[in-house]
Amino acid sequence: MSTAWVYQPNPKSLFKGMSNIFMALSRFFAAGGEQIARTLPLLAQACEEFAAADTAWPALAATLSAYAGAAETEQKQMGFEFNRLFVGPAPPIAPPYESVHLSAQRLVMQEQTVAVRRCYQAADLQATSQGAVPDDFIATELEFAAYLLSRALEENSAGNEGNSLHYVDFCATFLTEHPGCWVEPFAAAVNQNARHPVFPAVMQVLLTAIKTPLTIDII
Amino acid sequence: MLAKHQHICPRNCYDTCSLISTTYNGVLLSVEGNPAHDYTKGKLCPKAMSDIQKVYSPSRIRYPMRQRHRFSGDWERISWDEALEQIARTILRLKRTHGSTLPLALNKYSGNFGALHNAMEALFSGIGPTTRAIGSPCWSAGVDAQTIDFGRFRCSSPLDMAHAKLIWLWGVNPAWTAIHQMPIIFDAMERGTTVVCFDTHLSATAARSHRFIQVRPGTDGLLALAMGKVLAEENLLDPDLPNYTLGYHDFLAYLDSEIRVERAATITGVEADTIRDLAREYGQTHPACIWAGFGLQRYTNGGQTLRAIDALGALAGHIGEKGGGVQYGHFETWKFSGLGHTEPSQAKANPVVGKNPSDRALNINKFAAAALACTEPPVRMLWLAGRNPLSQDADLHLWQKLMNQLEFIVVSDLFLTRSAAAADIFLPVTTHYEHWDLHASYWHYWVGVNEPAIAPVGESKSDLEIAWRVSAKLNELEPGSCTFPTSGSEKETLLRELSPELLRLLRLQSPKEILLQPLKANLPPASWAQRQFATPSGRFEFRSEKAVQAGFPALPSYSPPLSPPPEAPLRLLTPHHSSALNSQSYPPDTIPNGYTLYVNPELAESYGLNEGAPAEIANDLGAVRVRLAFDLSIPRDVVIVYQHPAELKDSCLNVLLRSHTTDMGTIATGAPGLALNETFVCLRRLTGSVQRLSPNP
Ligand code: SF4
Repeated sequence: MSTAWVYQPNPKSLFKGMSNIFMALSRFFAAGGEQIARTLPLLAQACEEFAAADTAWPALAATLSAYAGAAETEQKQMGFEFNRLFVGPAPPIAPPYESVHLSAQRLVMQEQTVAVRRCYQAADLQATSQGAVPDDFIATELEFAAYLLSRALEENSAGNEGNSLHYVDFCATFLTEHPGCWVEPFAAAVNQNARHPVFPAVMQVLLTAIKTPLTIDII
Repeated sequence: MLAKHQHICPRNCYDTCSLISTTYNGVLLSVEGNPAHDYTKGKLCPKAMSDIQKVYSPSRIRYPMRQRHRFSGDWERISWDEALEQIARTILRLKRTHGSTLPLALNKYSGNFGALHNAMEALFSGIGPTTRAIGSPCWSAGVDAQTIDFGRFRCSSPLDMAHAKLIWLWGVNPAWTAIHQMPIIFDAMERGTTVVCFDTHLSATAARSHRFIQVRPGTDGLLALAMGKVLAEENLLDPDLPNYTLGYHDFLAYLDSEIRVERAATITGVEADTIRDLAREYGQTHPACIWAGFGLQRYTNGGQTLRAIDALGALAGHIGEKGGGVQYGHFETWKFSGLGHTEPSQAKANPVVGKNPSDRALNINKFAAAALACTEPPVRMLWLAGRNPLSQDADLHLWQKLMNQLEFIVVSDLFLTRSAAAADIFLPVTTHYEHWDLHASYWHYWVGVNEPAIAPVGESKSDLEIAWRVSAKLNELEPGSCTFPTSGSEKETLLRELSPELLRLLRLQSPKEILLQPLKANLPPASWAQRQFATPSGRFEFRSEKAVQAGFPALPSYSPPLSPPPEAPLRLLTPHHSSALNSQSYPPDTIPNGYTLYVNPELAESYGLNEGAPAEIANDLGAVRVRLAFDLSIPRDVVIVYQHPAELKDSCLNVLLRSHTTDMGTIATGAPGLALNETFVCLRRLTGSVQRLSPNP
């Protein structure tokens, strides 16, 4: 018995929307708490733009939009909280690196990091910050997913269905084998400890995005 | 691709091990001891075995951070440029406001003993006369004592101990704190050498020795003097003394008139017959080596203790003997060039602190009190590097006051220590796997380099790189405001650090040869073999004019340690643990959830406490919760807490510590040391279960 994949309905809209959401999530984590005033509206916008295509997103978009309009002092507090959760200098509550959640010693730069690096290499990519920032940093993983979907979209638009499916398959496998393996405990740590509601909201976006099926399995 | 790199363990540790790391595609995979090193011999202690966890800990700080309000925990990530701009502008503003650079203070010590870490001192020297922490919390009194007696601070190669027929391990616990010495000692034991361990309690080393001599804390000097007296009485003095020593008649007269063996027995807790037996064995066995540990001199009489032990070694004729001598440490290979701004004579005298004559020097052990007392001009900015005083220093209440009062605090470190929690700006630094450096040991004769094996983690930078960038920013904002270089190559800087003297000692034609492998300095294996000393008289000085000039007694003599006050009758000792070094951060899961207080069961019983019971130790400065553990070997008036960074999870042990200083330290390290072992506490019973204390701010 073999499994094959076909597109979800409206593949272009799905790839574009999900690529945008992954990219916006990536920017949210990469730019840091100090840039929340810039990155949160972008994330809200990405969710909003995709809202038309899927019923799961409108509520998320609305929640994020509300926080995106927060006053400056609250934005500052969100920034401090972002650092407390993900950056430091106190030991971060939810380190945003795959290997910290999956390796025996809970460290960065472990075999999971190298496995993620191999995925990038398979797509002829190398993280620009390789060495300094672990390859399995959440922002890098999400940016990679966004890239794969953008390539799927390109190929689909060019009529190269086979190539497009290859990228979709690559992305789905990557999401399952990497972010999909660790973002749940990561999000749980955030949800249990966050002192500002924007972070559970972002976690909801993250989990929803990771779990969104990109293809339909046929047997 | 697999790659190997060489490193030196940079901790403030006797062994200064040579390490080999293995990386795969730029990821640090393993760290092992270097087998091609006759001291390390391929083995490491538990501290280095957790190096990978340290390098790749998710708790390690990766970016420059700014705290909104001191101790608030509200941190924002900032760019290096923002951090440097704020630091440089503050420096220049303070300089303008006060018409002086003295409001800028640097407090740096041994978080990393690499020569290139002296860049911080050199940076401050480049800014102008500044306020500096000088001296050492570790060993100052002993260094002074040996400098007075021998004229210079040096010791034999630790391998030379293998030749001893009698080894006295006095106040040192190498089984935990210098593990590479143990095979040398065991090997000697197998060949018939007798090993005697003197300590306040049965340490791991004492348990492995032939004989354990329990000495009351702070009375070791008297024990040495009493044994010296026995040598004199029983005609066991080195007949050659008149040829190479100064003042031995005076010293013998002092022993004769002031020292009574029976009285010494009562005070030291070592029976008079034992004192006599020990003295006889020491006087009759050649070669006989004494290794005097640092803990011995962390008393208000610490310098005199070391002088008394040196004198005992001399009386018996063991100084200069192959396999003999009194070993404590050395500066012989610390011949670094000083990064251009460290005064070379200071760099020689004290490997830790290079200072300018015009600096305002504050004793590192009384830094908070001294900094608070500075008025013209006051200290306004503090930079902490390689230090964690809010955990490790005395007078924490004064530190807290100072931290609250300062205008600007910069901390460069790897983790958020208690001190870093006070920072306005936190700068992340690299580990020894991420930068070039040059290291010497204060125990063995090897010198070697650290080469970077991996890229700096996150945006961390080496101290040298930070110093260059601060200087560059200062000069950008105000040309000429800092004479420290503004850029360079770490590797080239390292090579320049090999002074002509060090090149000669290492028998190098070119500095680059040091990059190939660690090298052992060409020093005589046994120090003072010719019995030509570096003292003003050229002799071993029982009687020292230098001591008198520094305000110390001319002769080694005994003064008692402090006595406990009635309200705090127990002496608190805090020896190093086998798996931790001071407060250096280790993986969070290895940090204990509180302090264990080791006590004699009889003491516990007198308080109605069982093993494992929660209790509190306290004095007029503070209180710390503990859990009791029993050790039959601990005297009833002594309690012990092994040093562990437990304060990361609980209250800080050092709230109990007042800055009593040692008698000596000013000659060689610039300031008296810390009499850490003169801390007294009372034990209090707690009812109910111990509640976790919230960490002090
Ligand atoms: S801490 Fe000391 S014994 Fe342990 S590896 Fe470092 S230098 Fe060697």
